[in-house]
Amino acid sequence: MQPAKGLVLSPADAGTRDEDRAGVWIEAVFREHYPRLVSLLARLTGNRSEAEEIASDVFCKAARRKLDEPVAWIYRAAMNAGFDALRAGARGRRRAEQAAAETIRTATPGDALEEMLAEERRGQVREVLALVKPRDAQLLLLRAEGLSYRELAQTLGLSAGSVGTLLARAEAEFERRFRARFGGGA
Amino acid sequence: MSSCWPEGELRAYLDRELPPGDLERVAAHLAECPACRTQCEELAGRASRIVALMQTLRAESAPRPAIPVKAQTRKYWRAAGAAAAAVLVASAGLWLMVGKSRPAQPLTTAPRHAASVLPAAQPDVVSAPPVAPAAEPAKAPAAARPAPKRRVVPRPSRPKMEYFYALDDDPIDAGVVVRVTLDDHRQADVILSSDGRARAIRLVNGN
Repeated sequence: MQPAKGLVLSPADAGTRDEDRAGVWIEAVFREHYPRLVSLLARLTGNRSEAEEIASDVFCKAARRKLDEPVAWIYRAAMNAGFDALRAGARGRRRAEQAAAETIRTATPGDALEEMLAEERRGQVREVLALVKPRDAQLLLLRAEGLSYRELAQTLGLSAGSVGTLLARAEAEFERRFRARFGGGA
Repeated sequence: MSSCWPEGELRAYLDRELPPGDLERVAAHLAECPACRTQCEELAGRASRIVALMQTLRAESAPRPAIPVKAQTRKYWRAAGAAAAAVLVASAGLWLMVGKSRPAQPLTTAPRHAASVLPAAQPDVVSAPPVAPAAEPAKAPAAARPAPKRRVVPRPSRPKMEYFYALDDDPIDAGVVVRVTLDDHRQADVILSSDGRARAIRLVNGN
């Protein structure tokens, strides 16, 4: 798959100047945000190829729309699709089992146990991320990726001054739900 | 005593995300207000717990075993010429764009000193078709040897090893090997260190 090429308007599509400009902005947004979006989705879904699929799909959709805040829209749409994928629970469980089996085959016994525990913890984190508000989940994931408050505000379409407040609330809410579900280990 | 700050500002203070003047004012307030200090400690503890949980998701993208790497000296790299440097620049950009054309999971090297490791058992190289020994006598050193003997004793079980070319003199302790596809459909492996710098490159067999 070559996501970059899918977004460049082919000569057949590039009818009007407007569309040309749309191709330009989406390409710039793509260059800046695609890798980050894929890594974010990969964390959310635990599946890199699925993450790439979702991200490409969202960019293609964005390219066909007139959007006021394209970046915020893309992240929102991608996160929603990511959560949908995450909630497709049966798939997730199957994946976890495959991952565990793979671990046991390839790792030494100590590593295997550690990796199984880590996989369990990742499942818990994803489960709680799917429970909190999508914006909270985005804030927590993107903040953990090292985005500054200014970048968070731009990416999520928030005012820069509200990021501290929203982040503090998102953290409190995540921890509350995590503890309610899985006990004090958070 | 100055008035207490809202939670959001305290949270931003912890991340040094307040305007400089406010940073100082919050710091001064914290020095004299135990309640806000306590709240700050709670916020900081929670923030680091949450980040640790989010980081567990990051760990999953690289669970594979280490690839041994042998880095060449800078001298060797210079010999490879500026063309390879151009390839590298292209690769570094492409790596962000290639999508599914590279392996689903990058292979991570465990911390180790690159110079001390031999390029043994590299899965990507093993899977590539070994270079036919018959092609080698074309090279100058091989021409001096009795060519027929070489044909009698082929070594198909030993795939050709491509060494990485180091791009600087620093030792490579750890890095991620990424397979990139270049514009002309050739492939190369690039070692990226944790800070994102490209540290070494090799073209994949057969190019």
